[in-house]
Amino acid sequence: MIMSTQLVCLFAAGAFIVIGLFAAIFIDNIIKKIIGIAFIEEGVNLFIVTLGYKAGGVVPIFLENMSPDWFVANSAYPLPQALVLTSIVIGASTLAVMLALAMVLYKKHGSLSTKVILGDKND
Amino acid sequence: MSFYDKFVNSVSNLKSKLSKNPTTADNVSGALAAELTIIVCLLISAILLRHISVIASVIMILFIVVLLFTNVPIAPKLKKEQDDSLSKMTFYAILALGVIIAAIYWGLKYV
Amino acid sequence: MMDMLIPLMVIIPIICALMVNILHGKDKLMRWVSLIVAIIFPIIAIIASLGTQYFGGHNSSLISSALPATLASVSSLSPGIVYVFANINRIFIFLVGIVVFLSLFTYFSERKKLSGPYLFLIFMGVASVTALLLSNDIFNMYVFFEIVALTQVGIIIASSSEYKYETAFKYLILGSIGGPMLLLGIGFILAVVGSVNIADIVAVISTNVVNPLATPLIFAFALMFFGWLYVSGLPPFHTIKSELYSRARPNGAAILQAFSVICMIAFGIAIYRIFVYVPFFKPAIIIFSLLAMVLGVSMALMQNDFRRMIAFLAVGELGFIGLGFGIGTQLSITAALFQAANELIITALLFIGFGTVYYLTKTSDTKKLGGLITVSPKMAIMVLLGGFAMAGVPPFNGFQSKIMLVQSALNAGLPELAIVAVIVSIVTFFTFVKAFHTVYLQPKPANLKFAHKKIPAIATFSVAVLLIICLILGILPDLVTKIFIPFAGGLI
Repeated sequence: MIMSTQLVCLFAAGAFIVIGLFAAIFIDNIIKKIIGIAFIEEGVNLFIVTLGYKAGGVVPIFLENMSPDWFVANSAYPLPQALVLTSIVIGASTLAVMLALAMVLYKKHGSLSTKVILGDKND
Repeated sequence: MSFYDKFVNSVSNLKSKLSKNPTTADNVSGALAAELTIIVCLLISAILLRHISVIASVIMILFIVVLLFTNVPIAPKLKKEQDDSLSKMTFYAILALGVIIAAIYWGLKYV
Repeated sequence: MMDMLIPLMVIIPIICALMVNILHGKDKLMRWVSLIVAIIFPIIAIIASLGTQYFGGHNSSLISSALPATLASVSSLSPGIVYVFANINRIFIFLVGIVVFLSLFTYFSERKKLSGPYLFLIFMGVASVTALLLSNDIFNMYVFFEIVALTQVGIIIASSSEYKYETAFKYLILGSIGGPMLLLGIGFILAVVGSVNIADIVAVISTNVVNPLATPLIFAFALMFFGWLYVSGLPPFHTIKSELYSRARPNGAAILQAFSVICMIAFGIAIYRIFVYVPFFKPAIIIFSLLAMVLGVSMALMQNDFRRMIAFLAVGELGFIGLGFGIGTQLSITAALFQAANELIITALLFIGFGTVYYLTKTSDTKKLGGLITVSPKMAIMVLLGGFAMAGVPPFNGFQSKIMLVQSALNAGLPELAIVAVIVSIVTFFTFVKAFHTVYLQPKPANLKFAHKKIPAIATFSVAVLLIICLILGILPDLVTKIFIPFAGGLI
């Protein structure tokens, strides 16, 4: 059975999110944790961009000689793409801040292990 | 041994395991007040279940009473569960996510 | 001309943020620019006329006639971002402006050398929360919320506390679980409805164009609800939020909590408008609000650090706001909004007021403190009155909103909630008096060292202004409730 592109993408998005959540809870190394978190973000982005997919669709730009009815039936949905672009930017900036913090924490503690860095801090 | 002595002992036991701070009257009064608040609010919230079913409410109250008798100083334990450790925070966040989705999705089928 | 003021409320803080960042090093200029903008900002909120701003000129009522006939069914939908400025936005934007102005004023008085990037973060956050309040578009709200979250992280990193990097990192990790879940919820709505404009979503769902109980919509509700818990710092996110507040500079913490309250209100209203028909909507909110109240107040009781204590109390107070939304009557939502406005002011008062203790002694451990009433009796009394306001003692504003909430719970046939609310208020009072006693009244420890001899007069002024606002709202609650009541009526 051949699955449609959209379905494959949705499964991939779900897998990304689940793997990311798994990494965020169970992995000790903070760089790997951050990679896991990037997985969650990318999974969500993939999910949203998949919503706008249309098999055989055309670019959603309306030209003079197009019939409106044909355009409505065949153009891809443009909104998700616009949204995903913004959300990728946000994800990238969050990722940058997290990696910068990981650097600072490594310099401070000399380790990348969450247990060492965020260990027992009860006061 | 009176309840208060028992309580002070268990608080100082737990505290000595957690940190080196001495147990003061201030700590104990805070922990005791927290304990009472939690117990009272748990019991009163259990009564809220009467809007769904009175029997469920009664069962819930009995369950809470048993729970309280077996785990009496509940406040220090709760505090231990809510310290600043990242793994506990993430664990509870994901647990809450799972519970919310499961309850709302499957609960809807029985409405 | 007056309509232009609506986008300017977002644009002016952003421009100011960029300017202070460039001006880093020129302290005097930076001080003036930020103070002027901080004064102008609440004034704009007052004088701006009510209205709607269609970005890109996408006013659907004007362009619908130009659409082809096949698109007639979607002609009422908004293709662009829409900002709606109503009276309720005016109140909250004004209050945020006041809190930010007073916090900045205190910050300026406490520090000789200013940090441009720190001011950048604060103004960027102000612009974002304003946009959050104005926006009628859930995706736009998500974007601005992420900016708020990043500025919150930055404000923590800019503080001088020991574990700031660890706290910031933890907040980012948890935020990266909560934020994407919110976005996923928005994605599910987009999949079903095809729009992210709240008014359009409500219209599509309420006219049964899509099945309101379709599985994706229910998932969207669950995910957005979880996102809302993260946004507002209700359990399970109460520990990280309170840690966040307690690690920031006290006047920064006042701003951080103001941001959180605004985010909670903005997303709370959005979720309420979209999902109130879902059967588990109100019980879910009530459960998590009760958890926030009980956990917040009981954890506050067991803290040794007074900043952490106020932070947990602030989280507990958030539960009251949630409770108002959960009961879901006109009176209760009015009470929730009123409580949000009050909490914004009172918690800022307590953070700035108790912050002076930190300023004087550079410690917030209650075991090392005592006897500070001799240093500043005026400040001590004002902080005590602020605590009264938080606990709900008349004639302060906390009393008015809490009595309204209790009344609404009784009217809705949920007396248990009223009892819990009263108990939590009493325990809040107890917690506060305990903190006040240890910091101000108990004998001064012999080894207590002072970093500064005196409290800056401006800090006293800021706290006094906030206290006066509390008193005014407590004596004349009609000032704001007459705006909240019709809004709450429109919401249900």
